[in-house]
Amino acid sequence: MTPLLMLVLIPLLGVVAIALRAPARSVALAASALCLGVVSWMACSYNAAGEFRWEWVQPWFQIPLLGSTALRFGVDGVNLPLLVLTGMVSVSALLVAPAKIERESEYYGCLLFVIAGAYGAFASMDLMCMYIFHEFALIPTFLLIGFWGNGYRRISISFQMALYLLAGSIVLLLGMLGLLFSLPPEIRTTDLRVLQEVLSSYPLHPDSQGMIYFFLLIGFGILVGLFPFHTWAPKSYSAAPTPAAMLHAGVLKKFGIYGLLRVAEPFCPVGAEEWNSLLLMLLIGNILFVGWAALSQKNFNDLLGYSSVMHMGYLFLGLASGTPAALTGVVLLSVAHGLSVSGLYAVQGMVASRTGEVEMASLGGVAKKIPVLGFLAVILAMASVGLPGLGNFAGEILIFFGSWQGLSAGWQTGAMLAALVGVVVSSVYMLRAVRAVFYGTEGKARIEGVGLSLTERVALLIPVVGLLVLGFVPTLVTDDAAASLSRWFVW
Amino acid sequence: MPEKYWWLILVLPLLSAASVALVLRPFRAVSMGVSLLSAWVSFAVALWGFWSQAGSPESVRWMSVGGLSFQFGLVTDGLAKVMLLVVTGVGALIHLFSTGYMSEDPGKSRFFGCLSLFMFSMSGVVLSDNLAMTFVFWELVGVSSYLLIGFWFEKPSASAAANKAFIVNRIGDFGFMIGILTVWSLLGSLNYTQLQSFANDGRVAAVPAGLLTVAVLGLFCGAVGKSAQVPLHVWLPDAMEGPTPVSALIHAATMVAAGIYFLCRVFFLVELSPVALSVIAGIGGLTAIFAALIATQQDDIKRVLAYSTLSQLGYMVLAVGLGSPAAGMFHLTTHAFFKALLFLGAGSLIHAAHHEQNIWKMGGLGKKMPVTFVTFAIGTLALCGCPFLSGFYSKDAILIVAYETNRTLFWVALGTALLTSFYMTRLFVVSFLGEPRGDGAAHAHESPWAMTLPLVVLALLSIVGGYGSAITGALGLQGLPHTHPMAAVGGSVAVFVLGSLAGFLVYRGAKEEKITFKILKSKFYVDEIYEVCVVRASDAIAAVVGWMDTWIIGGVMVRGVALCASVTGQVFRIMQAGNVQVYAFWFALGVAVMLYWMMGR
Amino acid sequence: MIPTLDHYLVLSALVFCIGLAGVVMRRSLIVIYMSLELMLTASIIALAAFSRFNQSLDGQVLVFFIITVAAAEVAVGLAIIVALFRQRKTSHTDEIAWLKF
Repeated sequence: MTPLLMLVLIPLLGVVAIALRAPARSVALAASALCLGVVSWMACSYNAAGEFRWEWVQPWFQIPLLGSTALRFGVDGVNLPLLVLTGMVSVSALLVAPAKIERESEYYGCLLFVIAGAYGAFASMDLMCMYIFHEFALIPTFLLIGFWGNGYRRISISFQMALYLLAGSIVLLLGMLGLLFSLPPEIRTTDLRVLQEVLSSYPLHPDSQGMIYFFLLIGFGILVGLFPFHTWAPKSYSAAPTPAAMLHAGVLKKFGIYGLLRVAEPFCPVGAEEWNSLLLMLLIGNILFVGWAALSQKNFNDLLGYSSVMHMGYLFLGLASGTPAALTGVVLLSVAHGLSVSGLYAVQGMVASRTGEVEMASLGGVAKKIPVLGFLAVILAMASVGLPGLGNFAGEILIFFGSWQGLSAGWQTGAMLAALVGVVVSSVYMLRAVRAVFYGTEGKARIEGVGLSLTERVALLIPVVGLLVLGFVPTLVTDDAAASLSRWFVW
Repeated sequence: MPEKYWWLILVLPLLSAASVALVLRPFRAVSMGVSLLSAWVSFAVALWGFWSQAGSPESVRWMSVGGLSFQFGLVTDGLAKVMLLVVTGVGALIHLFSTGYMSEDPGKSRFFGCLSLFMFSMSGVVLSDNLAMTFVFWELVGVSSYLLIGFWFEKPSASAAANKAFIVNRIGDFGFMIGILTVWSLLGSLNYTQLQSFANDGRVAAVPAGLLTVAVLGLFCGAVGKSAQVPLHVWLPDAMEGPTPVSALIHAATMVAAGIYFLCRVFFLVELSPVALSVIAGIGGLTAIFAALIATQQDDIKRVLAYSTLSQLGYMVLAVGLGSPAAGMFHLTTHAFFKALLFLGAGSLIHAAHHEQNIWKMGGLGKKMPVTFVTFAIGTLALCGCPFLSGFYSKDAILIVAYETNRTLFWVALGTALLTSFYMTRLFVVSFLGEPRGDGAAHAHESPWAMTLPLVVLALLSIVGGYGSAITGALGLQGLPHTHPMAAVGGSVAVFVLGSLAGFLVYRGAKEEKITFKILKSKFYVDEIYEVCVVRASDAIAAVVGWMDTWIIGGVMVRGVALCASVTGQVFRIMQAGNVQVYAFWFALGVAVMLYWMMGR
Repeated sequence: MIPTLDHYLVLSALVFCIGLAGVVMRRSLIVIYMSLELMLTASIIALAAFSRFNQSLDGQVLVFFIITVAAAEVAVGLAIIVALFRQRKTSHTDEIAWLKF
């Protein structure tokens, strides 16, 4: 039994236990903590210099023409950090989840399903398998927003999100099938490692590469919120209950980036080249358009949603430039961004639960009333604007240097400048939000209740400590990630 | 292995900041003690380092991917040593001062934690041996400044000033990053020592001049932001919302000088681009005269000093632009002493006068606060360039350089010197002489020793700082003038006398403003212009973009697709009449079509 | 004239079409029901004819099946119609068109 299988099974066993009337919150917390323990152990004992470890195969089902799909698990330096991210965010999200809530068992069951799906998607080394796990996590998110979300529009928003993402998945599936069918039947397989070996020595025909890459880009792009397919994200995150927003914005969204990094870019290098300027144009939209849209938000929740979409632009910039440094930066920034955005959503949830308000104009003075919350929120906001000493900066600077390395005239320069302008824009809206919510004196919305409870403190400390560690010792991620990427890509 | 001790300068303040943030926050006295101790020990280490021959410690790898490597190393040449001495020395004194000034503030722990964070980042800026690490610490000083300006964050003006400072600095850093990236792509290295060797062996000269100018101007952008040069000067006067020791340490003596220090650090690149040099000199001269003009009409004691700081920073930038980093650094050092002294003196005044900052409500404080009075007088004289005080020598060096290289800028500098003497005399006369004009001033009393001792020490330094040939010698920079043309020296003395005399005569016994220039009082309307052209414009764009996002992308496009689907649904819905017979009819028709299709052909 | 398979099949088709026409066009549920039975009868005719001309009993067996199923259907169908009539006081199809949207 591989630890990777345990990561998927533990949350599912948790669901079974909850179904058998075990206390839901404790079971969910225990399961996620156990998973975090397992990934931490893996992260500590992984010393394979970029090679795969803990590989495990269990044949699952057969589709004629596609070969057999199997539960294939394995980790290298690229997905291990993302698994650790999943572990940290899931524990933090469950700590934030309210102790008393209607239909408690279903609520925690859904969260555990999301967690299991996220682990599975990142741990899989099989094309179909990772697709299925991602879809698997999507449905409970839909339920979480629809049943336990905020606002009277939550049901229509949950439908919009689910349909949007399923549409993205269909495009993605088309791309995947295109990839498989352009291989000769005798070597057709969904095993990513075999695919990588085959495709690195016998690349696909350039024409089909272009088509496949386009579908993969749009499909994965929709899942990440690539401009202009991003409008689902801010809305669903504001409507989602805090733990669901944390898990989706922090973890599940990174699946699209991971897919582009694992599948689209290395398998279709010529296609990537062909669509490069499109991707660059869209990512400028992500950074500038969405960045400026974030400036106009009146509501703390929406602002975080726009901010998280905007920062995806940096990840796309790294992918578009495709240099080793930039791609390593993408891995690092994915993790750091996941931590910072989930931390900020947790902060938002804590503010909202104490004031019952999300409008920034009526908030204020939180830092005076609850200094610890203000302190941690400022750190998280600073991480999000890319302050040195915190993980996001290390990722961004790798992406900047990496992109500058592959710099050529035209859209590339435009995207680079947009990214640098985006750094200013993001600090403007983030600092404004911090000022409106935390500084000043108490606004119209009264702040009820006391300081942070111990669980809330731990929930915020997990991302904060993670970000500090990544900021000071980014090599924890970058060394193995760079080694793995250099095996996975043909440079 | 004595070179390892250099790390202490960085590690101690960081440890202090971290321990205050994590553990010590509830114990206010302990946090204060820890922070104070770390500052003084750092100063001791810097002193040791100044005299010792210890080289740089080995650099540490921060991150590396492929050929791109970020190392964290320390540079310990003369320039760094001098700057470090200034930073830690002034820093230590101001820590001491703050123990008195902030003694009653409930957020004392937070204050000292941030102060330690600042000391860490500022020492980092001084010591880092490559552009990437300079950028890292550059941003960190920015954030510690943000935290300290916004220290009283309940006040809307303080948090607004903090945001403004951070964002304006970020705009400067935008250019800085472009500069760093350009240097890296042109020369393939970020390390100062390596870059210097490239400059020496002509590799830099081989680079296309246009690109080099872009790189240097990019780097200068960072300095413009941090050293608050025109057009990014707007944050510094607002930054006076922070506690006064912060204004003294960060916004007068050290952080704002980081831009000049950095320009000196990369002067070997700067000097190879004549275009960049003239831009730098121009910006410096413009800032100097521009800020000096505004300073003559301000009523808030800290604002006068803030504009004076701007003006003096312009002087330093001017010196660098004219090809004399040594003169710039010299002035930086002496300015750090007397400007910190002036700010601390102002702090002592404000503290005594119950947080009254308007000079027209002070007056007559000379008799009640003798130590503050005398030290403030020394600081004023030094700033005005009174002969035989430190400011005279450093300012003279710049004037001589200007006289020898660029006459236009010389006259600008001289005019600035005249205005400086005038407004400083005004400030001094109005706040210390005459009769008390406000309640606070009437009940003022001398500050405790923790506050006066730093004043005395800084006053001594302001007197002797100009004789420190050890300092200028240790810099190892070029461009300190050796001749002393009479025109420059005489002009400097003459404007000092003229300016102070004019100030004294105009404002002696004055109870209100004697001369009014609306445009100077309102700072050339720069804030208002920016408010309209930048802030409002950007918010308007944001509103439009936000609208488009909601209604065009989210509405027309996304909802449009949904609408298409539902229209299609409506069409098919007509077929679902609900009448079983209609269904049967469609069914039969379908069967018939299929039969025809299967058999008919 | 000896009847051939075609005669039977044409008869069956005619009966089927009459039944179908009745199902589609008549408004009374009872008549529709009778038309349905007519369609079943058409298939019985065809099956019996096939059985006869193919010299096998398969068709006959199926005919029995249909007869039994039809008998059961009559019971269930008439019950539904009666229940409907009690509820809605009508057995006209245009008045019970609420199986939509």
